[in-house]
Amino acid sequence: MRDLKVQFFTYGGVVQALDGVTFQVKKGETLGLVGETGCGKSVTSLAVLRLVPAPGRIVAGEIKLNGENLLTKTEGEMRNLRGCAVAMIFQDPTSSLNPLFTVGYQTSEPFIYHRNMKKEDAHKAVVELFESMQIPDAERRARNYPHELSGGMRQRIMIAMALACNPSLLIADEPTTNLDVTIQAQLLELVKELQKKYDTSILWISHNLGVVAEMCDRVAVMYAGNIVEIGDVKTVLCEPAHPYTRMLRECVPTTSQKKGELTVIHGTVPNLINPPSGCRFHPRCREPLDICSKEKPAMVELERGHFISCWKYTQKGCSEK
Amino acid sequence: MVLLPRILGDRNLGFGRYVARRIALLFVVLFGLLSLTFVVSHVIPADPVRAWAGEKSVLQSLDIVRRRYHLDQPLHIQYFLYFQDLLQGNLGISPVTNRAILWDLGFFFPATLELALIALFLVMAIGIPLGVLSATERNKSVDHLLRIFSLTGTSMPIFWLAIMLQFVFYFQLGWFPLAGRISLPWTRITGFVFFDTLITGNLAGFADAVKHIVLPATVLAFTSIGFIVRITRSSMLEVLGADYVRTARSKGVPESSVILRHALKNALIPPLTALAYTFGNLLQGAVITETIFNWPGLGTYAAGSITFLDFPAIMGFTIIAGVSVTIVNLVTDMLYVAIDPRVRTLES
Amino acid sequence: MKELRLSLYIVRKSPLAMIGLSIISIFIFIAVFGDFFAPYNPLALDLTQRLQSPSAAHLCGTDEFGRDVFSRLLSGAKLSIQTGIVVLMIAVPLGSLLGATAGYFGGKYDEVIMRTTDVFLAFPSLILAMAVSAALGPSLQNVMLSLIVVWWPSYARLVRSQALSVRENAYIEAARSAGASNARIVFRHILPNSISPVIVRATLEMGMVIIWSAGLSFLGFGAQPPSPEWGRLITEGRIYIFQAWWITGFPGLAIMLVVLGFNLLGDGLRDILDPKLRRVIEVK
Repeated sequence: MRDLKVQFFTYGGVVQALDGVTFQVKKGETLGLVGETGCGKSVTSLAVLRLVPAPGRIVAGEIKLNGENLLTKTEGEMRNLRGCAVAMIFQDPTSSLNPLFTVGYQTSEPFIYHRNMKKEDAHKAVVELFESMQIPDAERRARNYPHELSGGMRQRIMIAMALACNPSLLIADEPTTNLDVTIQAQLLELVKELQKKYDTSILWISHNLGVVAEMCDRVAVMYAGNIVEIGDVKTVLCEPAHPYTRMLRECVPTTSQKKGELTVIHGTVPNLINPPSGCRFHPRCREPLDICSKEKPAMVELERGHFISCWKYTQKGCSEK
Repeated sequence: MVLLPRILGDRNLGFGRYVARRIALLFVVLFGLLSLTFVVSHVIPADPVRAWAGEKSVLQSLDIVRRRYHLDQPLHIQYFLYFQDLLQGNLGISPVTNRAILWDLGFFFPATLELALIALFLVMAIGIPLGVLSATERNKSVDHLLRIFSLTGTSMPIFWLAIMLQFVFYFQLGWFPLAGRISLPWTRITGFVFFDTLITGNLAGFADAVKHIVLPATVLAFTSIGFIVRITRSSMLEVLGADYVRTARSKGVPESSVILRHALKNALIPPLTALAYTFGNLLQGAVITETIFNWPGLGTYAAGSITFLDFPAIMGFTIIAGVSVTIVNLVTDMLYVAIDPRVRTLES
Repeated sequence: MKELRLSLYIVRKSPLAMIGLSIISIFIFIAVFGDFFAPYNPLALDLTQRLQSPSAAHLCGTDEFGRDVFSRLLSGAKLSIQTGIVVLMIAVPLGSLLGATAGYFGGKYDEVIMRTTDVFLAFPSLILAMAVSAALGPSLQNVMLSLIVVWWPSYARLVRSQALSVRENAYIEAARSAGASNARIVFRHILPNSISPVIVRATLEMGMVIIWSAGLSFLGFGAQPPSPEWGRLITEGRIYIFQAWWITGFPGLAIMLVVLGFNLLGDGLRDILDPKLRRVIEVK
């Protein structure tokens, strides 16, 4: 994704949701996307599928999947790619599954539409798929309706649905946020296994740094529609460079901390109809410079593979990307 | 209807118990209904017997009639006697027509049922697709036109529409007959003219009956279509914004399937609830429509019995009305169960 | 303030609601001042001018007695709006109060009220209205009475279901523990919070009341001749439909326009009060 801009044209004004988002996901790797609620993570993921809901529109930028620019494709071509070359799993498996159809039917749809299978063959493929996902009693499960299954099982099925046709890219939008910690651990293990097996690239969206640390190879930190820092997961989480990432890290309570107050980032997510000028984080930054409120910093390479968008580092004369 | 045996087979006991419960409720409501009707029709200032007997009546014969209909007894005794008769399956004799009420009802009922069912079919077959169209073409000119069309339909007084349609389509254009159910002779077997003419091979009669039912059914349906269009539209809009529709799209499901399969099935639930309500409306609309088109149905019968203060008749068709509405409610609920698997689990 | 600005914006954006509002305003104006603008006396007979088709002299033609239809229309507007207002002004508060108390107090009282509304609602309302009108004798006042009898149950149900959810709110508990009497809670908390769907519904139903009263008059139960009530006009014109369609045509058209006005406005109101629909309105 390069320089992607997405805007929502509402009665109250134009919401500048994504303001030039740029990142890359390499083959077989997992890129995490973290940020507060409302920073634009979900919009980014929907943009890849070109499913940004009205009144939103992609107004500028480029999205390339396996070398092809997705923004120039027709709707028909996009439909062929969705669920096939790129697939998505959503946060709430309860509302994301159609209550009136069996999970078996819903999982068979990618097979029917992308592999042109007949109903019976698709059904067999679904049962096989369930078995490979370690879903017990697959034949019966396929005939269940979503409301008859537990939250963890529903999410497993969503994962199955997404991976049915071996997509190149899997987008996971906070898939474990609504689940128990134990189920969460199971699902994370499952996804890691499947990734190894199919060599899928994953864009993992989360606001939970712990999950990101476990699942991702690299991570991008997002704030108010911009990527502020992106790099290797160890580097970014252990030695964060950007002020925002630093504050995020401090917010995670650890057992080694002294008991007392929890750290918070004061202030709230800015109004994106009238975003702050210059660097969007400057009102909440601990060490803002003069220029921060005037101009938006470009993305520069701090060290190999570690990029950052912050005036503190640019002024140190690093090379522009 | 293939679904019914499956439902009954799957959770036989639960469903049967459910139906039994609903029938029991029907009786409770019916009891209240009849009591209400009793109160309304007996607590009036006018003397009904005079109305029944007509202008030239002799005082003694009035007394005989009074005694025959228990009107000389105190109110609570009348109440008791009425229900006693009812439980023995005796709806009484109409003092106005001098025939058994049950017979009269049986005679007039099929005509109204045919009219109401055809109108209901029209409402659903036209209303639901238009509602879907309105939702998918949201805020475009089609949507606005349909909105005006729906609102106009529900704003029209039904009797006025009936008269104007008679004027245009009978008088000016001559396409359809003015009134009545059928002009050619036909053999009455069940009372349902379409059925009877078909099984007696009376194709000319069948065609004639079709021509006769067009105007009344259109009038009856027209005022309810708008309501269904609006409900379908808003339900469809809500469903189209749901997460599972987003999921379906993200899987690359073709748009036609997204709308007609994933969305529509979910969106049909509110219009289905409206079905029972609409049927009730149609039955009431039938009262007025029948008087204008001289349709020999319960509507005409009801209007007449109210005008002549024919209590036994009033009680009689109240029962029919109450039972019909409850049956439609029951059918709607069964349709619910067939469509929405979540309800099945609840009811068993 | 922002809410008001937003609502005005939406109403402005919705041309249909604006049309509805204008129609209703015109209607109310006619109802109040109609008699001044009527070119002829609505009750004046002129047998030399029987059954004249619409012309410059008689905008809507004349009826079988030579009376000017247009003037009769203007004069009848008053009756329709009176009926609508009276019926709703009595049925809605009555039903709402019964519903609110039923929802709040629950128990046997609630059961009784619910079964009563069940019975009323199972009865085909039109028949009930006809029956009550017939029982009381034909007149416009009795039509109003019968409509009130028919109309209150649905409001009772509506407000009751609202009350049931409002009752669970914390502030009710707070009010009670602060010592507020039941009556105070019902009037100060339950009723006001149940009010908005009632308003939308009442606006939409105003049109229905007008149609029903016209219908009952048409059947002979309501206003009697020579009253220029619109339903009555349609009945009287029916006999001459093939010779003089305008006697029936224009009154019906008038009813339709007025009811349409209320429906358009009610529709617009519903859009305003529905938060979900607000989000997706685009700026061109």
